[in-house]
Amino acid sequence: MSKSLNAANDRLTWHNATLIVRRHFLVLKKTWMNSFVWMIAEPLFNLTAIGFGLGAFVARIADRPFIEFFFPGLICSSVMMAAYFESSYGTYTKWTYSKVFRSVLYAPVSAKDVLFAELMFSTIKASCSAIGIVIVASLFGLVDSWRIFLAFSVFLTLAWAFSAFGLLVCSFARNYDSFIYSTSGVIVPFALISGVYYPIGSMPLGFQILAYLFPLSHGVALAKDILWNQITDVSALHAAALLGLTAILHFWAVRRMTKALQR
Amino acid sequence: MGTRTRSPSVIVKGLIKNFGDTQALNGVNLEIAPGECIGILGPNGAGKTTLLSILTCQMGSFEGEVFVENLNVKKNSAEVKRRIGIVAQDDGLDPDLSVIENLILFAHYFNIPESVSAAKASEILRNVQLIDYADKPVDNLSGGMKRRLALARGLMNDPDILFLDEPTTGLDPQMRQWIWNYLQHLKSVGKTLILTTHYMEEAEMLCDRVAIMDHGQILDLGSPEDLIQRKIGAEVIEFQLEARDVGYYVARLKEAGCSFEVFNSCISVFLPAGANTKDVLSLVVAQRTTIRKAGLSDVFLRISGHDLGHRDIGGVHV
Ligand SMILES: Nc1ncnc2c1ncn2[C@@H]1O[C@H](COP(=O)(O)OP(=O)(O)OP(=O)(O)O)[C@@H](O)[C@H]1O
Ligand SMILES: [Mg+2]
Repeated sequence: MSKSLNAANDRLTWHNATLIVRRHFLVLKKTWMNSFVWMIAEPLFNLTAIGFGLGAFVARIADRPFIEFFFPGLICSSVMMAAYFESSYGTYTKWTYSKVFRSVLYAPVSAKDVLFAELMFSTIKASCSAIGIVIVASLFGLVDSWRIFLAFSVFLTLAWAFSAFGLLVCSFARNYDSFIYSTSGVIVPFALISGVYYPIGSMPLGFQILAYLFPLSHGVALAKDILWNQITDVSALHAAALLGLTAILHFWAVRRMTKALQR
Repeated sequence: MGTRTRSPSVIVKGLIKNFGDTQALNGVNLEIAPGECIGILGPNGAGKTTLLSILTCQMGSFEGEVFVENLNVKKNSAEVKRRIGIVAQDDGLDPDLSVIENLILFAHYFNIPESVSAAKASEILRNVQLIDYADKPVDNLSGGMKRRLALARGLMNDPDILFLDEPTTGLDPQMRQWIWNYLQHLKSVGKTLILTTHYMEEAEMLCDRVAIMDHGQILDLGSPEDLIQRKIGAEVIEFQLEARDVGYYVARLKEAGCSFEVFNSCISVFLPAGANTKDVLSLVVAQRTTIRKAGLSDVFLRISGHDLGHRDIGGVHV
């Protein structure tokens, strides 16, 4: 007798997934101040402290003022953080602590519907934080081109990638402390070496290779290429790498979490 | 019940479920007819909730075959969930939503339009006397109110089969009575009901058949009357003894060919219909003797050898 589930049981129905996303937004609306402060205030302080504060001491970097160099990376790393935190702590809470997933799974929805709703929700939330930063930055005169719209394809992909990463971490987590490893061991260190604050090329080779194993570095490179209008063949490689890494994270996370939810 | 040509509502064949080393279900076989009300009795940890979780597609990995409304739960869980109502042991409500949102959002997944679901939710909330709490967060409800809301949600999609895991645990007497009436009503309109309970009176009153479960197996199955008659007989005599006398009287009863069980220093003797009560009474000199009608509790104790902790059948002292 087969212990595994038949494929038909974890079929994804987009309609169901969007209904679940609607539920998440309904709840978000009740606590919107929370998320708003988080989404806008943190990047604003980042931009001010690092971009203008620290930037005042850095003459030029990669041939441009520091704040300009910093801006694309700031959006990318903020998107990463927003997506990761939502789909790790947020998802884990809905799964284990508040048991929202259970309440939803009494309805005729599949585990995949629930997981895609998580991915969509945290991707949308992370994209909203990108919009927030862009709005704030445009007040400082940092956004000067329509190319910012093109750059959102990168931000969205990054958001999806790190939403998947958060889910993947959930599937391994034993309790909330487990996320300390992924946050302090992966997210924060990689934010430091992925070309957000300085060019990757200025690090030792080993670190450069390490950086490019992580989606963020490719996202940052690609966002810069788009915003600075310097798209080359290398940009295509970054795009391929970003999409490839996103796909790996996505399928791995969905596979592990589907199993976990079906018990 | 008359002759039934419709196929069973639920078919369970050789169901096994392990949690690591714990064998929660250990070969369960069961068929439930449409319109039947079946009660699952069993001590804590018997496997009742696990069985219901699998039947309601909340647990996907198990060995054996399970069909609900002729649909294989391993292959058609969404379709099965469309047709059933679930009232889980721990309510399983959405804590981030209000009372009425819990119902309306749930209805969305069944493609019930909001204009319909809103009216329906209000009607059901009025029924379970929660209408005044419609806009309150679920967390503000008492345990019994959450129980009623869970029932309300289980009814939102007009299910053909309703699964209720300890539906009346934690409810006050009025609400319990209301739920009993409501379940009787659901039965009368042809719904299939599958419930677990620790209350024998509930099972005797509502259930056409009762399954007694322990250690992940169904130990016996039948109508309450049938089980009582088969396993116990008509009457029970309880002798409350000094602990040191128990051995002596056990020997005497054995000699006389009586069927009985010993619980601590109390011996319960089971008498078939028409047996001579006086003969048995003359065998034992007890501190206190009670004669009463046999009930499901006795069956339960007999079969599982555990004390359920709920002796709710009144006795006559002699
Ligand atoms: N998620 C789980 N993980 C590990 N073991 C479990 C899990 N769920 C149930 N069990 C074990 O399976 C067995 C059956 O549990 P179940 O909850 O089905 O019992 P029950 O008959 O519903 O008991 P109760 O009357 O207390 O509700 C128990 O031994 C329990 O410890
Ligand atoms: Mg239980």
